Amino acid sequence: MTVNQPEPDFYVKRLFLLYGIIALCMLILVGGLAQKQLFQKEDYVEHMERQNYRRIILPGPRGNIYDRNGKLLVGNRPLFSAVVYLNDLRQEFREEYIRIVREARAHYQTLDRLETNLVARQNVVQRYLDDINVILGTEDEVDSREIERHFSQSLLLPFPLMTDLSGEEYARLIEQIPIDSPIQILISSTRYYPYESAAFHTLGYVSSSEEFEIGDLPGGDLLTFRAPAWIGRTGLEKQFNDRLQGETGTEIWTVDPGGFQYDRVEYVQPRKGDDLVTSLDIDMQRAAESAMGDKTGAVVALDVKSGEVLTLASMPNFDLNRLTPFISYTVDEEIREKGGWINRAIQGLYPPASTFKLITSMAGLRNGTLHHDTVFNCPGYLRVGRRLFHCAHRAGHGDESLSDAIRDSCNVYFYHAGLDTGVEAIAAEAKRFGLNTPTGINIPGETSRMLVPDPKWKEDRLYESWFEGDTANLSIGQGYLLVTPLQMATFVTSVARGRTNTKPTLLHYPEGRPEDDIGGEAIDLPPEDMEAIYEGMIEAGNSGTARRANLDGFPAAGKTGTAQVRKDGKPTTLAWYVGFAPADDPQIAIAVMVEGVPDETHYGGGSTAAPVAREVFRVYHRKMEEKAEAEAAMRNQEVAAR
Amino acid sequence: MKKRYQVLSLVIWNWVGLQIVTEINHYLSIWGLAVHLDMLWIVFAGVSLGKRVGLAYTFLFGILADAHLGGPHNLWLSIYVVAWGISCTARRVVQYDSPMQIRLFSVLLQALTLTFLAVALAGGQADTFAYWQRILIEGGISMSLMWLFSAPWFRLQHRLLLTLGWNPFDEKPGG
Amino acid sequence: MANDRTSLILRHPLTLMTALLAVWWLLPLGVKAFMRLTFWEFQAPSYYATSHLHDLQDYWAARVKSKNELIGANIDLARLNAAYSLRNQAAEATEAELQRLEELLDLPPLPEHRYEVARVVRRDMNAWWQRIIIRKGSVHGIREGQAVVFRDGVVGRVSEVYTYTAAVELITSREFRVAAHFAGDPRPVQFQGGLNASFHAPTGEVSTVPADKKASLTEPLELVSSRLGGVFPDGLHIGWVYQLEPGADGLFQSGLAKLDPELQSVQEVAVLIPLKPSEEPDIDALPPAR
Repeated sequence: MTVNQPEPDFYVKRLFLLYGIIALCMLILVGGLAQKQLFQKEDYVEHMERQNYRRIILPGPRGNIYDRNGKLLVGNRPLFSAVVYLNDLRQEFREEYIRIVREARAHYQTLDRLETNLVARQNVVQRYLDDINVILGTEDEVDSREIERHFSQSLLLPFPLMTDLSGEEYARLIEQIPIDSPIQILISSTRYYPYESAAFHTLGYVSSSEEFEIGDLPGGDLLTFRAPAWIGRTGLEKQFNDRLQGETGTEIWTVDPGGFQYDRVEYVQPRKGDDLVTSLDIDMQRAAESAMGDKTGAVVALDVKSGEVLTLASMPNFDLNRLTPFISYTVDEEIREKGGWINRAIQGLYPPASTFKLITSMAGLRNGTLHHDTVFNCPGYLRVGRRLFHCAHRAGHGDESLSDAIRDSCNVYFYHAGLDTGVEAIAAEAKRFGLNTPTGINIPGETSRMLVPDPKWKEDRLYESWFEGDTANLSIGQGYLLVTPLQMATFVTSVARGRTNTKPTLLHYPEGRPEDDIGGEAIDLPPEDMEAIYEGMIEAGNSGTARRANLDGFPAAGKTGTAQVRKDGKPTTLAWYVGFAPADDPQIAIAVMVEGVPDETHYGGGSTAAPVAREVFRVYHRKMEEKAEAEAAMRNQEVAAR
Repeated sequence: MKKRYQVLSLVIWNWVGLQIVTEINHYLSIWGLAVHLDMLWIVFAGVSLGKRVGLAYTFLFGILADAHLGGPHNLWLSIYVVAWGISCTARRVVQYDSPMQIRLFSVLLQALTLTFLAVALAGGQADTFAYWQRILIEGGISMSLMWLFSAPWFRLQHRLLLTLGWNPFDEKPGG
Repeated sequence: MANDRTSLILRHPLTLMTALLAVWWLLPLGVKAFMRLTFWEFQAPSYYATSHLHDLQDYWAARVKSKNELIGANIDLARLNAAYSLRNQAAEATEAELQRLEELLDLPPLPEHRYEVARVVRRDMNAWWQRIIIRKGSVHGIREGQAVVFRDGVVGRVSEVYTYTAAVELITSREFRVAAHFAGDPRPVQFQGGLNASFHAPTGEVSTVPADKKASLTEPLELVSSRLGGVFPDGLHIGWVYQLEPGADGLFQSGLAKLDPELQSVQEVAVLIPLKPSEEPDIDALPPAR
């Protein structure tokens, strides 16, 4: 039997074809590989890195805040937490999942895969929390939603089982949890305020946030997780957040396809932020707040020579430690109810009352309508138009000179002076002292709604003409005029310095603050005119309305004020004191404002505000004496050493 | 005598050796030292005994040592079994009647074991000088002792089995 | 054929080794734990024997001493006894005062312990673990986690308990972590053992030390145990800290604590067994150490 066999050549040809096809395929493969390996290598490496690496941003601890004498106002305290890295529990999650599935199968149940995963994770994490519960005698439970949120958003960060552990709890856990347990005791930091409520508004508070600057760290193109940082929300914490905020560090981890970490390939250690030395004197601050007691108001004291703020108090205040690590609803409610969120020193707007008479005086003196020896008679009232304007002393002061009028805070004298001078000149003088603009203090939130009224303003805003009665009111700091306590403090500092303006600062300059930074220009009034004003203020301290601010051996020059206002629709008074001390060589200037209680009008500048100033003066004076004694002792030592 | 009693005798013999080393370490601890001579107990079984007998010996001795010595559970059992595996594989190269080769092999195996332990159990100490200094000192002393005692101990084990009426070297390889 | 091939493969030592390890690995944990326990108890009599051998050594060491030496030692002991009985009186007075104050302040009584004195059978210390085996076990009331002390302070914690023996993880072990504090300062710090160079006293790491603490060679800080952790009574000596370094967070410092070199030659320890409220410590009723 013969069969038609193809020629051997035929096979050979076919084989060659086959070899050719294979060779072509190989060429394509090799070419492709070469292309990927040689030419697109970097793309692939980058792609692989992005897939396989994760970056964790670790914020640095915040810097401390000190007062001018180096006393710690805000520091960090440790926050001990018991955490687990879910990453370490992978195997247990899997085992628990299998156990649940097996159990369900034994009972012929069907399970939702996703749901079962959730339950498995919750069970495992709860088991570890139970270990802690046994040691601490607690009964905490894990929140499955929290686990899931953590799982999907921050898998590489530790999952907190229990936070803010006490010292004893921390001790128990480190001793009784085995070192190789997935439970770890993590130490982070939170803000700590040794003086509790002191300078509540000035220091401000922080809150935890994942939104912060991370700077120039490696792995910018990697999937990044951020451990939350403390960010300043108010006060100095906010103003100097960049300085206080530590340098962020980073960890770069290789991860498996499930996103679990397995090897740390890079670590940049976070660094603590810079410290901040403020101009505050915590002893004076506390003296001011203690003297205010439970009254509402503000106290601002400045160093006359440098414009540094020594005290910036707003009442009511609250323990700042209650605001960390977070503000609870009850604390927020409590502060809100008492109106504690407002920083009255820089945000509260009040008529300055009789303290404004100093401006009226200077306006008159500058305008030539008033002289240091001008005398007006005060019968206890003055008729302006159809309205009778009374003096605080209804019986009248009789004949009063400028300094007498300042000492006695005679309204009638300043009605005369104001009406003679005119609203425009008074407003110009107030503006010269910066009462119509924010002081620019380096703390956030200062209001810009302060008001020095004039006829144009009244017409523009109230569509009314300016009356002489308005001028009379303005002359004694009433009416539409609105200023902040800080403005009055900078004003009285400027008067003490003989300048028109003082730019306050909350930073301390141990080597002295540049004069240009302090600001202002010479008041430019004849010395005898200024002398009359100073004399009036000194006399007010010695025997006049401001005498309750004076201390033996530390005479102050001051001016009180009591404004008639309405609060919550009810009449009340505002008590003011502005002054500086010692009168002959001013070192410290102060403004005190106390808000009256609705329907009660017994608060007065002399009786309520001046004693608060005295307490601040007392601390300042004591410190001056202590410093002088220390310097004398040092000199004696040096002499003895020679 | 049945082979199982002979193997048991070998276990007891080596266990006494282990007790002696433990006792030495008890006194050496005063200077912060310990010696590691673990391969003394394994090399003979690996190089000379038949595979099944050798493995049975190693397993039994491993469990005993695991209970006796510190460290993670099953550590010593695993180390001994692996060391036995290596010894057994190396028997084609290592001449059991050459003391020099036994010495060299024992020291090498002990060095491998110490290196493994040093790396695997370093934990947080890996970056401290004190740890590696101690490892080097203990390793050095252990290697020297191993060099001194491995061949005599090997011979003693052989003699013990001979006394019990069993010469493992007469058996075919793989028996 | 297939059988032959299987047995051939199994004949290769590495395959055999892997197979054995795999089988062992697959065994339930309970079986393995049981075997470990059994093999320990199997060897325990030898530990006892070794320990008694140590005692015998001590006995003969004493026997070969001259009478004069023994008389000298006796005089020293008598002096020590006198000093200790004085200190004992002072301690009793302090305790009475403490009790009075506690009653005055209505404080809950501090947890009391009884001391179970035990001889050290074996010291098992190397670069990886640091433990001792003691000649007392579960029948003497010893349980895992109990504190172990000796005349110079903290020794460690019971890590394994058998019938007549127990293993104690030493304070010098890397796995040993304990809450402590500095003498006179109740704030807790963390101590972890584990830096034990040869020919040197053992050291451990102290961390979470408050930033205001200062230590120097001339004025070291004494690290003592803290009752906060719930295991050790307060104030037992751990070591001395000569230097502290501030951490990056500015909150804490860390440093090294130098431990007592006696830890490396410890021969007798006491296990602190917590008393139930009804029990009273009775030192005279303790079984003798040997």
